Amino acid sequence: MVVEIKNLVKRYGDFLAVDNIDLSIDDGEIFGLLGPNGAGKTTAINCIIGMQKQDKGKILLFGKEFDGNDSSIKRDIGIVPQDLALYLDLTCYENVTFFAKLYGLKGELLKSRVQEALEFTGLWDRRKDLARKLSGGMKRRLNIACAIVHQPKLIIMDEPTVGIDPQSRNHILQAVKELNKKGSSIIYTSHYMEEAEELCSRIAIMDNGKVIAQGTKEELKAFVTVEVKTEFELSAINYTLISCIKQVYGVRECAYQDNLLVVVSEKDSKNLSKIIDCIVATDVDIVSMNIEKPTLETVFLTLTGRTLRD
Amino acid sequence: MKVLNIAYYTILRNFRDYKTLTMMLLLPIMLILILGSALGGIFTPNSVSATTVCYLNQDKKFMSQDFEEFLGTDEIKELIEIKRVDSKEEAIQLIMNKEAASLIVLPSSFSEEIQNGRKASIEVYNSKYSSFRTSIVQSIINGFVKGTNAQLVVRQMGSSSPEYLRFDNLQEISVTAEGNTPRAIDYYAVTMLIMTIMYGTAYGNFALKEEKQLNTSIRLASAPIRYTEVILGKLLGSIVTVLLQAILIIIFTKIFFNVNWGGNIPFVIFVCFSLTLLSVGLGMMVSNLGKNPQATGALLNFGVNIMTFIAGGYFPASQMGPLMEKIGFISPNYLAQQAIFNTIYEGSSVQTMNFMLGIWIILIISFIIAGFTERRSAN
Ligand SMILES: Nc1ncnc2c1ncn2[C@@H]1O[C@H](COP(=O)(O)OP(=O)(O)OP(=O)(O)O)[C@@H](O)[C@H]1O
Ligand SMILES: [Mg+2]
Repeated sequence: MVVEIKNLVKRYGDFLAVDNIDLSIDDGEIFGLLGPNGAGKTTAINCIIGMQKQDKGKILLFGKEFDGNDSSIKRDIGIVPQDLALYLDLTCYENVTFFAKLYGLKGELLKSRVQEALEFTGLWDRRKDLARKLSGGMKRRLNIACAIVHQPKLIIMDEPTVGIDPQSRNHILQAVKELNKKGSSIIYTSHYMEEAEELCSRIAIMDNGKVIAQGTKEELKAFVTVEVKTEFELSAINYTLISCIKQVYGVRECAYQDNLLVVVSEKDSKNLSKIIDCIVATDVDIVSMNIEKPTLETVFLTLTGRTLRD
Repeated sequence: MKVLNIAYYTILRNFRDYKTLTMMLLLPIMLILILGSALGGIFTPNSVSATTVCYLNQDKKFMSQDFEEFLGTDEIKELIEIKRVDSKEEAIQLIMNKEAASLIVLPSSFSEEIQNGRKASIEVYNSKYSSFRTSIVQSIINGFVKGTNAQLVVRQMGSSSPEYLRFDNLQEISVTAEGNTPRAIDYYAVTMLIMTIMYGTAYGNFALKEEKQLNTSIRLASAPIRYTEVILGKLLGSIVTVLLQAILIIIFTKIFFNVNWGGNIPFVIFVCFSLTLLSVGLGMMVSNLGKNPQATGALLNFGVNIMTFIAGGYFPASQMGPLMEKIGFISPNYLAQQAIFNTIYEGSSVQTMNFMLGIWIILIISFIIAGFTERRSAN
């Protein structure tokens, strides 16, 4: 277990920002922390890295209790803060070098690690440019380079893709996967469900300071799914067909309009082949077919009654 | 090592901050030039009261003739006007009326002491709130006394004596004294240098708050480095930045304005260093006491202006009436200015030490308060 959090509570005055959460992150996984604005994700992360002192709860990193001071633990953590944390009047190279030195890197190793981090984030060619002169996406990448130069075992990324174009975003997502392949465990915070779907093995969903669900993508979806909706576009629709489908096991509803047929079934009823049999038997052609699967977005909607981004 | 790393990059970034750099280097140099030429009239020795020196000879023996000869030389006449008096009371009255700046007394034992190979002393009384002009008087007297002793000793003991070195000293002093009529630009070079160093409070103010604004405080907090190391690094970086700026101003004004920085530049730099500690410490203290660094920055900026003004930085305090001369004492600028003037014009070293003591007391208090309030503002 890379990270284990028990009963974490953090207040700002009277306001409860993190409300008694438990999290555990396994070695080698990409763990998604999802939630809308103000859910408490950044606050939780700040407590994990020792930036803020929690009011209650235990934080174990690499199996050891962490109070925000232990250097041997800090050495193995890299943080990509939500807000850019760069010196705009230093060059890319100087930024990465500065932070690398805080981790005790020096000499040839320092140089090679800095080069590696800049190459990895695609900024080696821009190394002599002041951070101020970079585009938004490049600044985001430099923000990552500064966090990974010391090759931490645990990388915490707080919305690393916020506000950038799809190309830079893809670049970052690929980088996250690669870092994970190289052996780092990753905590990945995002508003974007698609990103979490693509990257994360396990996910926790936060809302109002609480973790409202936690598990693998499949577990989360299964947890919220009660029915499956299938849509067919057919060459024709007739009454025989409708009554045939209505008799199939698990079908709850069958509606149509023009040539569009919508069938709602209970989850896990595995009745798709039976439905198709009916269609074939009535001599109707299938033009197209679409099974609507639940997404993490649906999961969140079901759990909170709200969409993740407003 | 990590402290030096933080200090180095802090300095690098400070010297890339062209806006602040303009204020710290270009502005004072412009002001030195402008004030130095525009207000030059105040400094030409035409106001008799400021340059008149009373002279009381209680000795009247052969050595006093040497001294009077010395006072009669053209170089000395250019600097001070001698007014003979018959009693101390008379002189004190003149000084109180601001008709004279100092009193020189040759004690009755003067010739005798020298004859016996002992160190003779000449007493110098300065008006209490002495302007830097009175330190010139002291410089002249010191030069004479050292020179006389040396000459005597050399005569008695031969040139291999260590005292011979003093002989060089004499010449050095008279050389300084020659070009020593302070011009306006010499005055403003010092006061504007001091003002610039005091603007260094801005670096102390922003040193740590800036990390918060840039968010880099998150990286610093999560890195394997102690918070005290961060503070030390930022402090060191700010101090070196301000001191380098001060040295640049000294070098620039020396080369291009031919400003007189005196014969003891290391000590002048030591005064700058002490005041730099004071200003950075003061900046950090005020920063910790307030919340918003922009607000504390504006407050400090305003404060430095006031301090510069009451210390006579823009306009000599001695020209602004006795009240201003008195309140000048509460300004750190004043302490540092006087310490430097005393050094350049070789005034009383006891006074210089008192000014330095004042600076160090204020700076130590600033650091103690800054230290106590740091933990509170860190969260
Ligand atoms: N320093 C602070 N003082 C007071 N309240 C704070 C502070 N920082 C955060 N909060 C509040 O705590 C709550 C959680 O904030 P947090 O930044 O952890 O949310 P988040 O999940 O990271 O949101 P986002 O997706 O917008 O980054 C918010 O309501 C926020 O207003
Ligand atoms: Mg956040």
